[in-house]
Amino acid sequence: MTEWEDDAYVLSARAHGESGAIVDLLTETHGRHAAHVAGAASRRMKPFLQAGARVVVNYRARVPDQLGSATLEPIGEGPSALFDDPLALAGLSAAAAVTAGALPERQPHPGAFLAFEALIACLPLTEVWPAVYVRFEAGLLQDLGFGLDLSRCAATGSVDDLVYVSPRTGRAVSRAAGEPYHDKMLILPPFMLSAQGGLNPGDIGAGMALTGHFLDQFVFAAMNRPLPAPRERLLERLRDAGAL
Amino acid sequence: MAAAGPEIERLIALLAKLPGLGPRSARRAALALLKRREQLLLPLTEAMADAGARVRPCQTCGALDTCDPCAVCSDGSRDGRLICVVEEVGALWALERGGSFRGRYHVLGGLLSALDGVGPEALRVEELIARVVDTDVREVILALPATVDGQTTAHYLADRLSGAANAISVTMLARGVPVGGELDWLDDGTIAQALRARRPV
Repeated sequence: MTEWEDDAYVLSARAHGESGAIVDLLTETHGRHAAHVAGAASRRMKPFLQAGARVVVNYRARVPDQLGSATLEPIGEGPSALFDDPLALAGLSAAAAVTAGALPERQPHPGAFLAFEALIACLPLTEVWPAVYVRFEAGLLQDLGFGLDLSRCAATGSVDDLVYVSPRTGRAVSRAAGEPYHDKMLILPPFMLSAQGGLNPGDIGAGMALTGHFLDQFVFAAMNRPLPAPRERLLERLRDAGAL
Repeated sequence: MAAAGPEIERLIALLAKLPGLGPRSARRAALALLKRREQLLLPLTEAMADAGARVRPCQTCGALDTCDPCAVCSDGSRDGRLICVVEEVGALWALERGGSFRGRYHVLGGLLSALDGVGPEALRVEELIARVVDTDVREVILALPATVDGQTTAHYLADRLSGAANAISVTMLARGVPVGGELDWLDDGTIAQALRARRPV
């Protein structure tokens, strides 16, 4: 018998039978984990069986490899706080879809959980969260073993004036070393180097292009899948809002 | 070994596919039907055949009815300037049950869903835009579920509608404490929504 309790975020819930659901969870210590939740169609449970809801999971399975069942206890308001903000809703859907698509099941990814937690906390802050979203995706890449190395220039070793990232290696490149390859390089927005880097026009777009490139190349292409559609929809929404 | 002939087993198997019925309850329902052949089985067969032959989606609103346009769309006493957008026919029936809405409806046929890969092209969005542009609609009420998918769909429709017609107002249903709801039984999200939507007494 396998049994544990953990903090988690709901990534998705699919109806299973008439009253149950298969819920995809991002747990703090057990990674991404699916579970059958009985009574999921009930009026009590429906409000928090949605992407972004914070819950305490009590998981139980007879055999470790088997899909177990879980009971969920909600914590806090959940995603309903974002219902009036279409951009934040798009951010939440994109984060949940990218997490669900990128993380393998049943492997601990505490970094991804913390990054998701930080993003959810920032989503009500309209001016802040798009930058946090980009850092969340960078954190996800890091947790998956494809972290960007932004500490020094891959060509010269310099730690100053890092403005590019090599699309092949994910390592930072200084302005002087990258200038001849400007068209091929990915732009490194300053906010990804430091929280004090400030946010200039075009930085969010550059950040999304940067993390999108590596998520696509290292994670989703390896699974023969495109980047999740909600991420594309988020990009459209950000573009329409003039936030890219 | 089957306890009954193939016809009865087929009846049980089909009944078991209905919502609320599992194999055991389907067996009980089949037995009840067969025992009350004249009163239940034959009228039900006739009603189902009739419904199967005549019920179609309304070309205007997407509701199910035996006539097209449906009874709601062809009811002249209803306010054609009000359109209430619902996810499925079940929601339309729920609103009609209350009898508090006297406008017309538009059944979307689902919600935008990232996970299930449902995009705008899979829903009756263009039909809604065309109705709003072509007729004298003043208000569109988005009566969609208070879920992430429901609200994402609502925002998408609000954007599309405001782009298509300037003069209409797009509204949503209120969220908060249900009638008869006691606060200590409500979830945190509903209480927070109700607090945000408070109004002067």
